[in-house]
Amino acid sequence: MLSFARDRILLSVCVLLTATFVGFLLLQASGDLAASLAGENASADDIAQLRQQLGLDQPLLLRYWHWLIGALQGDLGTSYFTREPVTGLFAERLGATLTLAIAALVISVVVSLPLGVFAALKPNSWVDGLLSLLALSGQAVPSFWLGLIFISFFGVTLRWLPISGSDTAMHFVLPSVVLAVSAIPALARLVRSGMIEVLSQDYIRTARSKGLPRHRVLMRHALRNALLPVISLTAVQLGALLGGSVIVEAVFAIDGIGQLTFRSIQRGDFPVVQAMLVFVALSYTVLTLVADLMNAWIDPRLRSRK
Amino acid sequence: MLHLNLKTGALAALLCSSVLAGPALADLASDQLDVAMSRETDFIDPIHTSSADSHLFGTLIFDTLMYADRETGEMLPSLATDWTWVDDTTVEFTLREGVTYQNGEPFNADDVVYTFGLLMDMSNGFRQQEQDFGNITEVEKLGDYSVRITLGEPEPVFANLLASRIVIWPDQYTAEHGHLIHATEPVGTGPYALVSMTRGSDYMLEANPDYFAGARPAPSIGNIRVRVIPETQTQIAEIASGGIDFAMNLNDSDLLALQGMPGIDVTYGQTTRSYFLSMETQQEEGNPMGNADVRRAISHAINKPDIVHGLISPEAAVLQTNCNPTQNYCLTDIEPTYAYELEKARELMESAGYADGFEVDLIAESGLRSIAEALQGELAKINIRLDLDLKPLPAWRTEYIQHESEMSIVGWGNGVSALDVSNSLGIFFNGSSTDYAYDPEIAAWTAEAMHTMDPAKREELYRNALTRINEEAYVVPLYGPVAAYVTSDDVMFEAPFIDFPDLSLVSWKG
Repeated sequence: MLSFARDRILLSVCVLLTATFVGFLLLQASGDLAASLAGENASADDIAQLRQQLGLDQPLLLRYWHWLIGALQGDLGTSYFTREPVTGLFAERLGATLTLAIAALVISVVVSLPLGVFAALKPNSWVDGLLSLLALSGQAVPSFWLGLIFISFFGVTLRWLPISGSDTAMHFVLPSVVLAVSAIPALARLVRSGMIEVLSQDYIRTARSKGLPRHRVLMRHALRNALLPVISLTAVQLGALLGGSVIVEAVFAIDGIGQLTFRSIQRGDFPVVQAMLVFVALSYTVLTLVADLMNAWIDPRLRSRK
Repeated sequence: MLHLNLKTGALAALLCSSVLAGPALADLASDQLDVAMSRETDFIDPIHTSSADSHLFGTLIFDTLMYADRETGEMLPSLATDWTWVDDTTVEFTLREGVTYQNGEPFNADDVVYTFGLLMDMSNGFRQQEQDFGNITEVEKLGDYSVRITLGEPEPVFANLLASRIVIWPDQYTAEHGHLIHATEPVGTGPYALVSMTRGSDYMLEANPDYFAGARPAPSIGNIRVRVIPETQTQIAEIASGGIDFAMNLNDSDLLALQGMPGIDVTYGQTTRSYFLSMETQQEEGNPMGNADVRRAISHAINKPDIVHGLISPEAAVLQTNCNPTQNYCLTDIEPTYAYELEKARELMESAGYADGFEVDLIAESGLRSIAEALQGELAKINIRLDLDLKPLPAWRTEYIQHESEMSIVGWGNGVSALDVSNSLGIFFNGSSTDYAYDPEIAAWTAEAMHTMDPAKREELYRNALTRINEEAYVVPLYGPVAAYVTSDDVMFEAPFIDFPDLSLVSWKG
C-alpha cells in the first residue's frame, strides 16, 4: 500500500507541475499585460517601464521559476490591480465557493444514489427510461438558464428564497441545487450501471439463495461494491464543482473564487488567474489521489495494478 | 445565438413572474437605498484607480476642491470656496473652514498639500498617475485655509481632474496608516461614510450627520448599500422583487424588457464616451485604406442611424464628428459629413480601383460583437470582406496599442475626466502608437490645444483637427452611448448631465 501511495503521489506532483507550467505559458500568450495595465493613453515608453517594473521583460522560464519558488513558499504573488496578496484574495472568497460546492455535492450524492439504485432494479422499464430522460435533461440544461428560471419562480413569484448574495445559508439553497443538477446525471448513471453489473454477479445470487433480506443484499453486498467507481467520480465532481461554479456564482451574485477568476481573466490580472489554475489543478489532483487511495484500500487488487 | 435565445427565454419567464408578483417594495421604511453594480471596483477611492465605479464611491465618501454640478456641468465651490488663476499655470484656492473628516480630523490646507504631495510622488503607482498628475509641479500652503498649485504647462482641463479624481485625503490618518488604507477603510469629508464592506460584493454606507453641505445638500437617505450583481438578469429580478432600488448598468435589451413593469422607472442620461471605426490609413502598397476615397466609401456605406438605434439604443447619439457632443469643444457643425449613400460608396470604390473590394481584419472587444457583425454586413455591400476577430478587452487593447490593427472598433472615455474633447483627440491623433491617421498637422493642433487656455484659440485648433479628420475620413465616428438608470418608483433621481451620477443626491419621493 505504501509503495502504491508513493507512486500515486509522485504522479500527482508531475501532473500538478505540468498543469501549472502549461497554464503559465497560455496566460503569457494571451496578451501583453503591461500594455493592458498601462491604459490606452500610455506611451510605448510607459509600457516598457511597466513591463520592467513587473518583471515581464525577463525570460519566460525564469519567470515561471520565480513564480514556482514563491508558490512553494505559499506566496502566489500580488494582484496587479488591487495590490493585495493573491492568497488573501482567495482566502476571502474560498468559504463561499467551498460552501456552494460541498452543498451541491451533498445534494447530488443524496439524489443520485437512490435514483441510480432504483433505475438498476428495474432496468429498461419505463421508470428507468424516465430517470434517464431526467438525467439527460439535467445535464443538457445550461446552469445560467436554470438559475434564472429558479430565480424567477422561487425568488420573484413565490418569494420563498433570496435571489442573490451570500448573507445567509438560505442564499446558498438555489445556487447549490442548480449546481447539483449538472452533477447528478453522471453520478446516477454510474450508480445504475454499477448496480446492474454487481446484481448479476454470482455472490449476489449466493446471498439471495441464502435467504438474506432484499435490502441487506442491496445495501451490504451490491451497493458497497458498486460504489467503487462512484467514489472516484464523486472526487472528480467536487473538483469540477469547485472550478466550475463561475456561472452559478455570477447568476446568484456570490462572490466566490469563480467570480474572482472571471473578473481577473477579463482584466488580465495574471497572478490571480494563475493561482486559480493552481487551485483547480490541486483540487483535482488531491481529490483524485484520495479517491485512488480509498479505492486501493477498499479493493486490495487495485494496489497490484500500477 | 443559442445562448442569447436561452437568456431571452429566461428573461421572459422572469418578467412574467415579476408581473405576477406585483409591484416592487422599496426600502423606504428602513431608509436604505439598495444599489446594484455590475462590476467589482479595485479601489473605492478614485485616486488609486480611475473608473466609473471608483468614482461612484469616491463621490459619496470624499469631496473634491471643486464640484461638477450634475445638471449643468458647471464647476461649483466645494472644499475650495473660491479660486483664482494667477497665470496660466498657477491657481490659488481659498479653502472652506469648519469642515471635519468622518473621523473627526479637521480639514485645512495641510490636507490639500499632503494629498497633492502624494499625487506628485510617482513612486506611489496610482493608475495613470503620470498622465493625470504629471503636470503638477508644486503645491504650497499660503495659510491655514489657502493653497497655491503650480502646473508645469498650462492645462485647460485641470478643473475636470480637480472635480473628479483628486479627492482630498486627511493628512494625519493617511500618514499614520498609509494611503492604501483608503482602499479598505476610507475616511473623507463626503456625505456618506463607509461603515462595512465585503470586498467585491457588498458595501454599506451611512449618512454623514456633520456633512457641510456646500455645493450639494446634506444627504436625505440614511443608508446606502451597494451590492455587486454581475448578471443583469439577476439585477432585474432583484428590482422586480424589491431587493434593489437603483441599478445603472443595464443594457438596452434589459431596459426594453423592463418597460411596463409596475413600480419601476427608467431614466436616460448622456455619457461622454464615444465609439469610432479606426482604420490603418498609412499610404503603402497593399493597404487599400491608405486611399482616402476608399475610406470615404466606407463612411458612406454604413447606415449608422439604423445600426446605432437598432443595436445600441434609440436614445444613443449618432456621431458625425469624432467626439461625443457632450464633450467640451466637440463641434457638431463640421463639414464634410458622410450620409448613408450606397451608390456613392460604390462609385468611390470603383474610382479608387477597388470595385471588387478587398479583405480586411477587424479586431474588436468581444462585447462589441453585434456592432462588428453589423459593420461586416454593411461593408459587404461594397465588396469589403471583414474578417472579424473578437477578443477579450486586454488582448484587444494590447493589439491596438501596439499598432497592429488594420481596422478596429474603439470606445473611449467616461465621466468628468472625458468632458473635454482633448481626452480622445489627444490620445488617438497625437503621433503615438494609437494614432492610425499619421497626420502631423492634426497632432500639432491637438498638442497645442491641450496647453492653450484661450477658449477661442482652443476652438479654432479643434475645428481644424475635426475638419481634417472628416475631410480625410481617417475614422468613421459611430455613436455616443446613453446611460440608463433604473429605479424603484419610490426613488427620486434626476439623470446627471453625463455618466457621473452622485448617489448622495438621491432621495425618497414624498
